[in-house]
Amino acid sequence: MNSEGTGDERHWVVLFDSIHFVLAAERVFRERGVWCDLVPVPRDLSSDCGMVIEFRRQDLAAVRTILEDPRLGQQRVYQPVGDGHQEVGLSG
Amino acid sequence: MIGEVTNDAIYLDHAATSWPKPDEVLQQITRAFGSLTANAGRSGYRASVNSARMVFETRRRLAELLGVGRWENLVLTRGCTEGLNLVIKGLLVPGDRVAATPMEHNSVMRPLMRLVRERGITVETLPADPLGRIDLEAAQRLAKSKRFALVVVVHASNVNGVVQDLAGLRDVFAQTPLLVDAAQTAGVLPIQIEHERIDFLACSAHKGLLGPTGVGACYLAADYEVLPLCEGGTGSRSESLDHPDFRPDGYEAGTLNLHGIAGTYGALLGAQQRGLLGDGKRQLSKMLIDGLGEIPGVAVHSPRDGSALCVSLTIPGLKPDEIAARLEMEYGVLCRPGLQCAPAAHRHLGTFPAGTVRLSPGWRNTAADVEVALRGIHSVAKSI
Repeated sequence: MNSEGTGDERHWVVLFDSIHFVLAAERVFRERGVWCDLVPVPRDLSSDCGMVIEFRRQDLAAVRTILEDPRLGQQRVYQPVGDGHQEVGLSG
Repeated sequence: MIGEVTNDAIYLDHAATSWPKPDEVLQQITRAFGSLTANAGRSGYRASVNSARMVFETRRRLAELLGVGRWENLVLTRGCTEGLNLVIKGLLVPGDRVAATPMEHNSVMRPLMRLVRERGITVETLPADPLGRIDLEAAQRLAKSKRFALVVVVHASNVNGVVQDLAGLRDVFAQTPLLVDAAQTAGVLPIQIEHERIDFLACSAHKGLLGPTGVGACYLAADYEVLPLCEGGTGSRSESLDHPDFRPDGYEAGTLNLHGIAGTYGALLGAQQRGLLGDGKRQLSKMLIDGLGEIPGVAVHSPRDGSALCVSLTIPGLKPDEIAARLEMEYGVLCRPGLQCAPAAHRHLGTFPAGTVRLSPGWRNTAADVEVALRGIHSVAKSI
């Protein structure tokens, strides 16, 4: 199931390798005027650094552009699906 | 019990460490000890994220100061020495040839000498004038005649304050990786790492940046693979028994010195307002050098052209530690006698093995401090 176009307004999330990248990305989101928040990693996902960035799904295109920045390391984007999350390709 | 130290001394030992520290440093360290400073990047609770944010902001501000756009290439260390060891031991392989200035500190020479023994590397000294300034024409001939794996340059000598021409050296060794020891110049002289095409640079927080001891930084250009000095927990990719290969995590195993980083953050908060410290250091050093030049029996081992960041002197017939002891006892002037952990530099200057007396002014020193020091040295020199 895909939440895109289903009226599911829950936030999408970006999972990073390290908290350094989370904070760097948060800064870029703010610089670009893209809303985001730092929240604990959802239970069905896993990352040591403990935090993910959540964003609004209508900003997906802007987020994809932001995540092309090589300073932000490797990341995975997830959309909420049912009680969990499903990975979304970054290539768009 | 640790004894109390009076604060009314004339402190001319800023090449060893800076004092006093700016208020922001004390405030941030007090904040870090007075409230929960949780481990950074290990958990999702607020205190842990706050610590990570402090580390991130410290790195970002330092990267900005040093002209580094790719902040992840600036790794935090325990100090300048660790950064220099990281590059030297993580980069060089058996058979490599290294060029170094004759003014290098033991933080460069000792790891190099270890690799001479253990990896069979060779180290060649760059040609220089009697004060240790690299002779770029002679260096050019050397660069054309041999292939080097690394060039190491101490940006400013901690012995006599000589500042090397980094741009000139970069041109001479255009294709060779360049390691800059910026122990004496970070926060003091303009440094734009990426613009100046510096491949590696190490510095500490506690000297020209006016931060606490126990924190340093090392820039590693993205093009090079440098083996880390140690592996361990990083708060990232914990499912793997292999150490992360991405930056900065790959070089920051174990819990960071968060209280020291807090102080460094404080130092960087005030850095923009203070500006670089080089002009002040040079003015006071020039006053010292000019004044010493008028005292009979004193030999100055620093350049007299206003470029020196500190001053080395000797008084034939007196040992450096004897001079320093009298300056402290009779004039309250604190300075560093001896070899200043740089025997190679003293061999070049002809002041080995006794060394020199080094006077290194800093951000809170005044012309009045210099006058007292000169009066003291005049008195000591007259006594022989």
